[in-house]
Amino acid sequence: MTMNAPRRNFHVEPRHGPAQAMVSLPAEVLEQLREDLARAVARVCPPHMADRRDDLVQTAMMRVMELQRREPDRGRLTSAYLYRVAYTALVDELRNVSRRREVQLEVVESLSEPPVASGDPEKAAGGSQIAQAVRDCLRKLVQDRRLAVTLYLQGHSVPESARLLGWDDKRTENLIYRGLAALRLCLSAKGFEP
Amino acid sequence: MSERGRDETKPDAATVERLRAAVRAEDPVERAEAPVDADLVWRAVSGELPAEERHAVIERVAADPAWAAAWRLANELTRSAAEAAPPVAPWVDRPRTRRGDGEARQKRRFRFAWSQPLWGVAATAALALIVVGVVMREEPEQPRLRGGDTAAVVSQVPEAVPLKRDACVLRWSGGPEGTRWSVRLSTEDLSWVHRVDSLETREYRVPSEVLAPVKPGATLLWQVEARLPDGQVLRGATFVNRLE
Repeated sequence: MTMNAPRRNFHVEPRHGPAQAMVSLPAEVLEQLREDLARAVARVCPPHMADRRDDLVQTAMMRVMELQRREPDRGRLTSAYLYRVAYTALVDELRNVSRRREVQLEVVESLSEPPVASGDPEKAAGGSQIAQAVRDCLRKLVQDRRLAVTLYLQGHSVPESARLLGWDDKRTENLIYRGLAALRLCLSAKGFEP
Repeated sequence: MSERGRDETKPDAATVERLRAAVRAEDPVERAEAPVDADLVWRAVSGELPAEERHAVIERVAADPAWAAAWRLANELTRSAAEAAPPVAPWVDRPRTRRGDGEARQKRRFRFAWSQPLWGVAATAALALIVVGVVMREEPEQPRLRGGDTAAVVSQVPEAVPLKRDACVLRWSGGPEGTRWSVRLSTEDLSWVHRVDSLETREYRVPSEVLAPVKPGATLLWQVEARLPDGQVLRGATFVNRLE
């Protein structure tokens, strides 16, 4: 039987002891967190989920408040930890929203009369098709270009992409530009002119 | 590549923005077979993961709109977290301080041992035995570790032995009695992810039906987290085994 004992840093998450006396975080910390969450959600959530943004932020804030209630030692509640907790809550809630939406769609399909769509369904459908086409074309790129272009399209700059990929700036820039050129060709072949 | 070459391929800002907008507008519908691992995405974006595992996450981002949305969200919030002033001294400093104290104590013990002749002889003999023992025990099937920034958990599954689909048992050691365990498994490309929590024993038998989507011969990555009786969570390194 082979054993191994990697000796590196411990990743220590905060204790979750029994509920004790309520310890409040400073109001400005919570307010800053709420503002940052709202901004992040506004930037990330697609337009058709605009009416759910407040719910998403509220759910994440409730998770943080619950953590605060359970954590007797305020010293453990660093900004990094609070934001991470809120982030996990947001991802969970995004998942829930998507599932509920799928269920609603199933209900809609069973209706005899079609519902009246909000917004511009034609535009939304077109956007969705373009996004799907981008995804299909990304899949056809060689891996290094795909990784670089993916980060660039997610909003990262060239230096940020390079740092995340562990490559130098010049190589990353070349991969992004050539990858984007190939992506545009692929999209054109599919009938999309970005 | 020449400067001219770069200029020829450089896209205009408006095109890039249109493409980015199309990506942002996509519905983040999650695929049941590849649920978003929020912790993994956060660690990738914040640089906690090694490059190889970060690349695997970015591949998921390229292929899956739900992972892409989670990535963008993590990117926004890791930046905000970095900008936000910590409310109080970070708790992570405490273990470091304790660890620092421990190291100092170790150094003091070390100096003490070598400053006493008899202790010095005993220590030399013990060291020689340990070295001989380690050399003799060296085996080629040492489990390969990937990623993990941590290590309190030790795999008891030899890497050279493939895991059987109908008897896939992961075993590990470490942690005191009363520890609860979580195990996360995935394929290398993260197209399949499985997680189980609150285990009370140091082993997990992966149900064969859970492994059904995994192709024969696939490499499985597995990581164990220990929730200690005092509430601390220790995360082990990622272990690698092939599925039969």
